[in-house]
Amino acid sequence: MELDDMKSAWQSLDRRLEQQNNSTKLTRTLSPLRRGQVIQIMTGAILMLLAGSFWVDHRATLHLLLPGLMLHAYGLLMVLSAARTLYLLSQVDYSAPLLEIQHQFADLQFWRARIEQPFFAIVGCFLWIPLTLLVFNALGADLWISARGVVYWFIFSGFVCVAIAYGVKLWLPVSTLENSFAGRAIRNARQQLEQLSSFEQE
Amino acid sequence: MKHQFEALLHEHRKMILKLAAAFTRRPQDRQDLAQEITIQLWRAFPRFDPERARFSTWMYRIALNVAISQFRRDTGSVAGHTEALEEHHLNRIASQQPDPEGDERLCALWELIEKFEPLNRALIVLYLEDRSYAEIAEIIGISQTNVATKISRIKQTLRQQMK
Repeated sequence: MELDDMKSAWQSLDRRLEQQNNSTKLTRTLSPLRRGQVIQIMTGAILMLLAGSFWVDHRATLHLLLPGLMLHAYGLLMVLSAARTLYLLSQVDYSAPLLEIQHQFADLQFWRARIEQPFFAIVGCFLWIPLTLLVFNALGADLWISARGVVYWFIFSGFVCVAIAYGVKLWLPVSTLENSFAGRAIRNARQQLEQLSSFEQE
Repeated sequence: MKHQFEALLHEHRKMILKLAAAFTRRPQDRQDLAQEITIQLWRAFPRFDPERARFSTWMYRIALNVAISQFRRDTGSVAGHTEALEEHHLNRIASQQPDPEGDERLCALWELIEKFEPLNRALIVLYLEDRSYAEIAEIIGISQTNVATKISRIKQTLRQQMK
């Protein structure tokens, strides 16, 4: 079938579509990406609220103030990064030329896969430490006072977690990494950018 | 404004459905995509300036941008969609009156369209919609010469595949 033969087949679709029941129920649902960002903003806000009230209550005690501030900062970063993504998505003008918009989407996806997600993964190796300190404090135990050695071990294990992640990245075969969830996201984003630029250059 | 939009939408509804069919497989996905296109058209409609672009150009840009974005999100890949054909494609077009000859041609058409990556697929759809090279260039954001070259390459690819 030649491309021009395809035209008559394509036009025959019109007749078929005339017979179709076109009642489309308009229900607006958030796309998975937008939904994820909204959840992230809510989680970050709750974290900020809890951590904020904690460090305000303990601002005179440095070893409690610091974990509170860390969690507060993390919550703020969660909110800011999700708000940034939502803002960028809301700024997308779908009536712009295809190449321009698809570039915007691919850049956004690449930023999220290459910068944002690894950053949160590394911070996550340490985040549980201030969180544990806060939880223990809420239960009436001050780990820093009663078991400082344990806190040092926590910090050490945070570094071990980063080292393991880095080691895995270094030693695992590239194909295994590329087939991981994060690897696929990066590869897809990169492929999209490459595909767009080759489409422009051809 | 709402009535004006509804009238324009009614006039171009078939185009939206055809385009949705070119980028999705299952009837439900096609309906979802047509709906998403309609929503984005409605959201963008207040900013539509007839002096800057023709309505059809504006609408094709929005519809194709939404379709490509959704296609990439759903497939999670930019490579050509290589799954085997599932059901008879015409189920997706919801015909009431079977037309064996037409069915066969449409099946072949769908199989061919699905071999191309999203931007080339958009190019094919616009070509099939009988858009001029100038308008295709404006919609995609490339030069007219580039459009002509790409269409000629697509034709060549199709010829080679037919051999």
